[in-house]
Amino acid sequence: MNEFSDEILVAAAQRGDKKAYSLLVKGHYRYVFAACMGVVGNVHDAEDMAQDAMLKGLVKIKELRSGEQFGEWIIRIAKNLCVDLIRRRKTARALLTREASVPPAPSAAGPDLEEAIGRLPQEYRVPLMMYYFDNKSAKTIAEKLKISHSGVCQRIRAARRQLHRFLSEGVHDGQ
Amino acid sequence: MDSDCEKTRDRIADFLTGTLSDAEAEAMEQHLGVCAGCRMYERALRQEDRLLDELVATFSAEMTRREDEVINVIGGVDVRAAAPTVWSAGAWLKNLLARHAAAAAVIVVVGLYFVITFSWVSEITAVIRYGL
Repeated sequence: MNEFSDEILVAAAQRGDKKAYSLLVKGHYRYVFAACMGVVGNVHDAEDMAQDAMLKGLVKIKELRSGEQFGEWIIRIAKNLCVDLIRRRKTARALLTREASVPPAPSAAGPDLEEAIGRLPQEYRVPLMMYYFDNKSAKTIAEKLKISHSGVCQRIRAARRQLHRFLSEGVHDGQ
Repeated sequence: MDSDCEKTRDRIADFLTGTLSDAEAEAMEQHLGVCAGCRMYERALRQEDRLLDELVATFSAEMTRREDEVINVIGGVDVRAAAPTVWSAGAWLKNLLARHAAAAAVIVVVGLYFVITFSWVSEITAVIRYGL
């Protein structure tokens, strides 16, 4: 963690200091990645989207009024980019194939955690991913996602129940 | 599964995340002590918790490389090598603590100005009135 506050780093980045922006990347990338992972549900896309969000953040940094809000702001940019990606893919798939609604075949190797995470609804997956990326602090996630602490706990609880069901389905189907 | 088990299973995730109160956690432990079904469920969630930790650890291992890639793309330098030149007056004044300190300093200077000015005025008035 660096010694400068987000407010100072954002002010410097707004004056064109890329080193300051690099420190913001260092401080926030893992949360942006976790949020992207939560929305898109796979590592490869999450990596691309997190990178795009950081670049877009650099381009739009002058629009940010309060430097203290950087974390929340950059996560919002990332989530919007992910939603756009999903929307584009859905449109493309609908145009290219009529078999888009066929669910993927269950893995022969048994229940796969990443696959099960991918099946969770986005509203549960985002807090769940951020929870595990953020040293299991529901309080910090509540601040970053602008939802209540009890709301975060409720979503994590629901996510865990569904995840368990998906993983158990795999085990029971395989038996 | 009775209603007690329903309630317990609904809260086991909270139990594992440590968001239950002491009394709730104690009641949970008591129930787990006597209910094999809920105990199995709790063990399964603990196991999944470990799997999630391991998955995130594998993602985290690559995090520095990913951050560096982004930094390279934005044309930044190695941030570990040099600190940014962010200590301009504008940035400094944006710091809340610094702003309060600056305001306090202004108040002290203005106060001193008035004290000194009025002490001179009263001295001059005394000289004019009573002579040396």
